Amino acid sequence: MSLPTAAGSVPGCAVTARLSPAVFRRYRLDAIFHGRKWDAQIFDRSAIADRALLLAREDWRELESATTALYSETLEVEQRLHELARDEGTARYLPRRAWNRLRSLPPQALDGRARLMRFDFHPTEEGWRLSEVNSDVPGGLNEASSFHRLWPEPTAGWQVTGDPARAYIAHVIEAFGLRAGARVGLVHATAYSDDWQQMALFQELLADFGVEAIGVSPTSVELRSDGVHESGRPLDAALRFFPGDWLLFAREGAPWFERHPANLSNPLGALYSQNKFFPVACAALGIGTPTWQRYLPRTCRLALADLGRSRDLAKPCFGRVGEDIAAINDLDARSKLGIALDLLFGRGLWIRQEAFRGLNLGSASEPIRACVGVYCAGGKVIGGYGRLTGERFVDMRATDSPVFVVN
Amino acid sequence: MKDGRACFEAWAGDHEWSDWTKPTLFAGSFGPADTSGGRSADELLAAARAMLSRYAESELTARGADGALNVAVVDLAGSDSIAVGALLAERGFAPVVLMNGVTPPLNPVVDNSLIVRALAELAPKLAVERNPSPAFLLDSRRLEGAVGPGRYDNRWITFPQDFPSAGRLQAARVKRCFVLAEPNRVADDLAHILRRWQDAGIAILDPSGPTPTRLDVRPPPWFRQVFYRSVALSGMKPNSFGGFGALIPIVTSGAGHGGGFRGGFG
Repeated sequence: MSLPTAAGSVPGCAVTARLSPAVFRRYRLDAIFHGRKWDAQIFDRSAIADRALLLAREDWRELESATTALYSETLEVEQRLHELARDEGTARYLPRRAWNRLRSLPPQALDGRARLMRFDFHPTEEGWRLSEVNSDVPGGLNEASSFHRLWPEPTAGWQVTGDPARAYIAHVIEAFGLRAGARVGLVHATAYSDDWQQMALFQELLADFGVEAIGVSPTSVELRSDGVHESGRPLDAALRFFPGDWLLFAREGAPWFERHPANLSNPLGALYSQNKFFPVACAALGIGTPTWQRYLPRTCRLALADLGRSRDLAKPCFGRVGEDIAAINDLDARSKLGIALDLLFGRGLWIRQEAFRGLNLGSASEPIRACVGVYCAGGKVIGGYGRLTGERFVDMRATDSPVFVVN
Repeated sequence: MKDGRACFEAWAGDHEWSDWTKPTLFAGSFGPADTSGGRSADELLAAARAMLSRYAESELTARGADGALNVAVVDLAGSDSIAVGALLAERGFAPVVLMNGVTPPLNPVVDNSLIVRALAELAPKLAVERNPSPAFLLDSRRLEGAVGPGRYDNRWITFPQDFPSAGRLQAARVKRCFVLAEPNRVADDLAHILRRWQDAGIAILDPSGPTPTRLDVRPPPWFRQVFYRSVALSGMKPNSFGGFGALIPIVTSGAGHGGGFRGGFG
């Protein structure tokens, strides 16, 4: 299959035809049982797409190049924001308790050795645009590491983008110097089977290195000066999938900031960039972010007056799966009131961002908009996956698809 | 049936509600051969028959006299829920397993082994009619269990996105929902779903008396709040479900960080 010729700056990408219902049924089962996609249905929609996303080679190259630049820039931004946050003269841009926790983080919380980030790119009429980085607990690794292998249609001549789960685990092993016999905690919300499906994959991948992985929650471990202890024994490292902002805002999350362990991937310093407010803070503090500025739509502080009328989007600063993103003009009175209260009594919880028009990869009667999540660990691009939707925004209603690179 | 995927396929079936079946119990460490103490299929079904006899049995059908569909939510304890679900298949319902707790290898707080055994035992006996109505199966013990040192906290809650929307049910001509619960109350997490359905005009019925009575499902805490899911999962809700800790720490002197986010936020 060849892609439509890219015209000007329009990205070269397309979707395959739908799988037939019978083929899709088998693929869905494979995704559940071989790809560990246990949250396969959300409300009335499948969370698994019946199409694959195809990218032109030069577009994938652009995304790889942008991702490595954004990764480096993001690490630098986190360091710089932390330095400035520790300075008493820097204006606070989070609620007080969260701000105090973040600025009190010790140096190991900015450790860049075993970082994993996922950058979400969208094809638009004006080229690729970035909606966010998931720098705290990037999910989707099961899908990104398996869907391309399980895709039931011929893929001869198509290139896969990588196996990010395997590459991430290999990177962690090397970065933390873990050896066979090491014990690693997988810190997650155990009530959440979406989390556990990823933990199960990591457990298997770590076992390939002779490393024992133990599922733990933030409250089931002891944080001591010499690291994380589980059942009275020290862990050699911990991989965190419990969102840092839940710890940041919860009263009982304090010890994770006060006694931040070494060998934690990702460290909580990631919250500086997970916070969607950070481009606003960077602009105010004079921190240069050229690659971010190139790809991120214009972003600014959301003000009360904006709620009256604006063509832009309102985004919560710690949203993760596209929940609560809305065009300001489409917000109902109740939602506006809720946001207004946040703006009056909170600080730095919302941004206003210029809306971009996602390229329609479908038809007028069946529009399809896409997003490509590109993973980066240790400065290297390790793979990606697609999300497809018929809605205006790629949010939690989107379906997951494999990404293939074609000539 | 010892193969998780085959068992899942048997329970999910091939009908309009198949896709809602949760794979968590089937795709985890599915191993009914390793469990013991479970009941045979016949014993499970006999117990389920006795249980169903306590309800307004003649009303418990997938279609009402007006031709509209009835759905059921079965929130009974563990394998009882599974067995009642299998029995409801004889009444035109399709059992939809919505149990979402993991089956860790060591010391779980909620023991799912008998549920897995029941799923395996009953899978070959399932006979779902054409054009069924869904009967959603939950485990009423999902938030129970002795939380203690060294145990794996696999408690779970159910969410609105686990179920079809009210609009989807109404498009299938659903007008009524029977709630079979033991104890006979609507759990907080389930209320988030039932209240949405009730708001859309679906009658929520308690069939535990001689004739079904209409329930008024009150809005639970955090109803329709955008962050309900995050808040509930992180245990930050004022009447928290608990910390959802994985391995509960062995309490040692100086250990000061156990127990979860109870009571937390705000």
